[in-house]
Amino acid sequence: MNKRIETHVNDLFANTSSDIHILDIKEELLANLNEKYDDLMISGKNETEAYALVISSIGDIDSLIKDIGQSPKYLPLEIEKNTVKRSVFISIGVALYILSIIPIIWFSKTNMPELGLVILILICAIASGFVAFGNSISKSKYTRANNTFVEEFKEMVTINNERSKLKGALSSSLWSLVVVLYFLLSFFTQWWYITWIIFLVGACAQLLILYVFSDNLRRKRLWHGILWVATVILYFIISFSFNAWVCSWTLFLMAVAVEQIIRLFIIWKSAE
Amino acid sequence: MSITSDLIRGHTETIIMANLYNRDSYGYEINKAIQEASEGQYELKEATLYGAFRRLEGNGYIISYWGNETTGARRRYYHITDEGKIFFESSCKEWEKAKNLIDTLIKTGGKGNE
Repeated sequence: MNKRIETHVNDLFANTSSDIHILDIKEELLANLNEKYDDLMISGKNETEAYALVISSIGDIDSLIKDIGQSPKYLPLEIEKNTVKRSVFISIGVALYILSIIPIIWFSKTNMPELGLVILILICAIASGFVAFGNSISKSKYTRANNTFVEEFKEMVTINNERSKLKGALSSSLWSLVVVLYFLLSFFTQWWYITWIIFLVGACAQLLILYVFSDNLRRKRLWHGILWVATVILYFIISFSFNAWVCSWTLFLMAVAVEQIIRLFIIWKSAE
Repeated sequence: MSITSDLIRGHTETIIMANLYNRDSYGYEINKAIQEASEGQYELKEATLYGAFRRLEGNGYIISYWGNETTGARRRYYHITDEGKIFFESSCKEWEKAKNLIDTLIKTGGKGNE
């Protein structure tokens, strides 16, 4: 490694950003220049001649660096897309709010006026979900200012933030939905002793949402929860429907077996 | 000599791909091959070389990887892709066409000057 060459190259790259592509070029240039220098020395040139030849072979590095350093700016089209998406969601939500009054008016004429109220709450819940999600969409997507590790990290954090906002919006709509469905079913069927199961279904759905949004590490723990909640739900449904309390507990034994099968399946999959 | 160097610079990418067609190589080795083949008449500047490498890589015609050198600094090797080979062949045909066309144009033009 020739010191003079190294200093010269460092000077050339003195005012450049720490863009990984630029650093790569610097490393490649240094390696090639040094090899050329060594070759020239072997072929009989003296140090001064070799150095001069090597330096003169570099060419116009500045325009090259400038070309590489071009960073993608915020595209006006992308900002527009996101703003449109945002307003679409919010407008749908508002429209639903307005429409939710209609069921009340309809059902007041029938013998089930409470149903109208329940449907209103249901539509409002869905509307809230839309508005909440629409609000959380940021107007512009975060694009990296350059290709350094810092910017990569910031981009990843923004993406994760948007995902958790979506997760939050889905979860809150889920629970308002569950409450509404509970009242709906209960009023309809008057089976108050059983409709509470819907909260277990809600828990299951909530776990599913978490499952979809989480990485493989959490997924390993989550599927257990989903399996057991689903089992409890099945147990109660079967028991109440067929009054088979004496044998329905065997469902839990089956659940244990299914759990082991799934575990083996996962091991088999990861071994491939 | 200026027309020649412009012409050659315009075909830098094709020349590089010709060097990579049968085996992977790295910057200095390619440059050395070009200098030897042109008997010292043409020298490719490093900046031109790297610009060509990046353009080729951006179009997917070559890919690069760092070598595992036992001695010295690590080298950046380049490998031509299948699309690169196709592009190279069509570039060669283009050059043939241009060469023949210019020959024809110069000859017919020359006849007029006789």
